[in-house]
Amino acid sequence: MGYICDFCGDQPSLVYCRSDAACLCLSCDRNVHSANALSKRHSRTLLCERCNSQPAFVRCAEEKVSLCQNCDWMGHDASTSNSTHKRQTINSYSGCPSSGELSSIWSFFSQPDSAGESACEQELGLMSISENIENTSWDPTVNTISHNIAVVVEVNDDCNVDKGSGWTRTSIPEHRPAPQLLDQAAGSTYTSLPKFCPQTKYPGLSEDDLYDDFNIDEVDLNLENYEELFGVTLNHSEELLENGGIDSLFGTKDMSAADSTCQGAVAAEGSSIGLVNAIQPACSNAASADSVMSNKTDSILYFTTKHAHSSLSFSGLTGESSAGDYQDCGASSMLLMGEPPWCPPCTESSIPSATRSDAVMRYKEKKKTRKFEKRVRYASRKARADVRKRVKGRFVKAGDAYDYDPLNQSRSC
Amino acid sequence: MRTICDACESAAAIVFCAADEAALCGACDEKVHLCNKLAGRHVRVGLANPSDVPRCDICENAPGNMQFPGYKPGK
Repeated sequence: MGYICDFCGDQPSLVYCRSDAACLCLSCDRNVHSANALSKRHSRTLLCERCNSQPAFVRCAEEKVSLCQNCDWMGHDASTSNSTHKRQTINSYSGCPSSGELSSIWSFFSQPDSAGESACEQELGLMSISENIENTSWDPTVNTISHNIAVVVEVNDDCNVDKGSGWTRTSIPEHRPAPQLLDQAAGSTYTSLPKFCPQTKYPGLSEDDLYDDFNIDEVDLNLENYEELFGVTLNHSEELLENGGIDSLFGTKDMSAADSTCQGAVAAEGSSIGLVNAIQPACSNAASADSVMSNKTDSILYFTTKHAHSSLSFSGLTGESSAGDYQDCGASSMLLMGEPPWCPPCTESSIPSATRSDAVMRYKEKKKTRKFEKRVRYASRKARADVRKRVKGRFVKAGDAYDYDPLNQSRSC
Repeated sequence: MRTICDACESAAAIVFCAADEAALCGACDEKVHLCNKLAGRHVRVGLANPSDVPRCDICENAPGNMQFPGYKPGK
């Protein structure tokens, strides 16, 4: 690469062959690319006059210089005075054009005539025939896409082509696919979006379906118990709270200890709420040992009912408290010595009736759309699975010798 | 079914020249690339025989290019 032709090393290089990645003088260019049907297809273009190592991309009319993309951006980018220079795209050629034809495509460029060239001209009448008409049609779009600045495209190329004897003239091939690719990319993204959207919906549905499917028994039980238990507690706690806020729960001391015998879930709930208020004063007061103990155990019940899945654990604890379990004393005393931390859960329990009813409604709605039949989620995966090799109904790696005996444990897997 | 040489269109192609964008048989490859020192710099890659390429174990269709030695499907 450089100022001298890569082939002869003799003359200054003028054109650049993209396929060979070589800078060549005109005569070597002619020689090399006429040898071969394949080499004739190579596309050559002018060299950038600034760096002399890359193919020229545009010709600046103001500065009268052909520039590659880098030099063009560097020279015309920063200063505003330069950025408005009119630029003209440089076309490339393939085949074996004569110098006359070359000067016609590069009308701005006066080519030096070397002595050997004119001799070659007559010999090489090998011109490819087809001519690309698309060039000028999409050149403006290419320029606007790549530069976003005012670029003048010479239209007189059209007339010159008619005069020329039909060598192929291609514009810079690198940029030709660009607008097409943009369209393709845009098109493909557009087409792919509607495909993906319906698919993404299904996983959401299927997850819920699966979840409901597997947990149906547990969920039903939990909900039934929950309505029964939690509804009652809500009523109680709402009443209590209305009466004066949380402090009222702790203010009243003398809820009857008789309720703590836990005749049923309802009774236990009511008593537990009532007995929580007795805790603080009970610690300070020397109340009867029995009531204190039952208070403590019931307060444990009160804590646990705040959780959604507490139905089963709640029934377990009611049993404990009715048995008068002394072992809980030690543990519960640890809990109660500190400042009772149950205030925040207390407020949360009364409010979520709205969210809970929403959730239940949603569950009921989704229950209607459940589908337990065999469902194929991805048709493409089914297609792949159908063509896969199977031995005794199981997928196998193609090519392995499968003498399949499921009872034989000597297999490595 | 193998690729046919782009130059002579009579023999099966065994190399592909990226610079020339052409698949060539051995004779044409010599003819094209030995006459010229510039052409001799072209990088050429060999084209494999379609029956020699290992196929994907799963779909048996596309040529496979990754191997997982020692992989055993879990039980």
